[in-house]
Amino acid sequence: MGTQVRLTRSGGFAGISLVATVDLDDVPAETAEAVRAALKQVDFNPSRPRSQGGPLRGAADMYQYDLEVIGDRRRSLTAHEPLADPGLQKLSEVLLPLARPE
Amino acid sequence: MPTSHHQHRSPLACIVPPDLLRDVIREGTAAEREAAADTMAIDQTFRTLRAAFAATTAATRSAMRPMGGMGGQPQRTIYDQKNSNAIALGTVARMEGGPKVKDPAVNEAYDYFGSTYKFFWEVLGRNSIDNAGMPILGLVHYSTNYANAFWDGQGHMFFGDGDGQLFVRLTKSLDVIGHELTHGVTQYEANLVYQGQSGALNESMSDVFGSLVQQYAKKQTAAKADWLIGNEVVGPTLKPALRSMKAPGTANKYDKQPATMDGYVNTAADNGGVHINSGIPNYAFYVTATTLGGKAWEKAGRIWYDSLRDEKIKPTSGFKAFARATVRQAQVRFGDPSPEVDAVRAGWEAAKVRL
Repeated sequence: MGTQVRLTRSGGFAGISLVATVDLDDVPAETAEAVRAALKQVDFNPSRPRSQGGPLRGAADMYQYDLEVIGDRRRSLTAHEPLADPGLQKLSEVLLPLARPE
Repeated sequence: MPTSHHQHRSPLACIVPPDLLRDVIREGTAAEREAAADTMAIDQTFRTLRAAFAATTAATRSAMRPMGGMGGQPQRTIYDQKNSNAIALGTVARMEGGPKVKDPAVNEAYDYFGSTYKFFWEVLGRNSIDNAGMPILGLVHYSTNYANAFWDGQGHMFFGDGDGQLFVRLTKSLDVIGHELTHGVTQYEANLVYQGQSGALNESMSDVFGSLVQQYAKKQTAAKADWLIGNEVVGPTLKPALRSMKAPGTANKYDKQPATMDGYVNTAADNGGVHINSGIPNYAFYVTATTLGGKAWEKAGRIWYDSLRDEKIKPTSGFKAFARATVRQAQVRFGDPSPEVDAVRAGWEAAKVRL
């Protein structure tokens, strides 16, 4: 089993969660490559408030993103729209088209 | 971030608990002490004003409204974001008093902001988002295939064109526009924190007043209203509607809203399920309004609005605190015992929120 990547986009006005779960060994090579490249850019450092901070003060109906990566180790983060992390932006562009409502 | 076009209340004034501010004043640095003291003073001023305001009737409020200019006239500007992801204000597409333009999204936002302003002014005596004539700023065609609309907490409402699956163009729905503008009203009143129960209450306020804006525009009674949210803008995935206040959890096949506390959902997603658990106070409002009969904005809406402005409602208040506020406000406005107080109690009982 390869690295598992799960991206959830929840919230928004609809409050519908879209979930994409991929095993990098089971997806087309170019998708796996795009996901790996994006993951390299993702900032999992919890001390950076814009990548893992809460929603904007007073804001409502903006999206929440939850990323979980399970490989050699488990890494996760929660971020809110507007995404400041270019890696997470890229990852959502690759994975959200594969996501399904939950 | 776009800059604000108005003076608005510091969120700090509402989010930070007074106890914490007192600790900062006692133990913080000189600068922190000064900021905390200012915040407490602002907070106290707002609370005093709010209490004084709540004690007046709609008629005297209209007469004593120098703070918001004349009132009764919205100040709308619609910006075209041209499908960009930029959150800075785009090109001005229509200003207050300007003629209709070719773009339907621009005209819908303009017209429905007008209907929402009119509802708050005529029914509740409120002059715009901040009750002081704040400009109403809508940004349409935000991003590409964007199936969402949001309030940014800084005076701007963003609307996407939809993805054709979840949603079509979001400006097509009056209750969606009423929903977003009400988020601004809530921010300037109880400033309910967007997390867990207070966040679900925040969401419910937007559904309640979004729905009332539509009922008022259609002159519908509570019995005739559909109590649906977003039915004009859902795409094939979410048909026939996004949410139902009458029957939470039944609006579409992904609708997981509970109607009662028995179904309260604990989740980390969606800021603690704010769009899920809002079904519970939504249902309490629906039962209250239909128990009372007549036009929902006249009594039930008035009680909910008074409760949003109740000085005991804090940014972190949950369902029980709000339920108690609605009973208190019904007692103040309609007397006790009264059919209105009974209807409010019936609403929360149906939602299984203990008073």
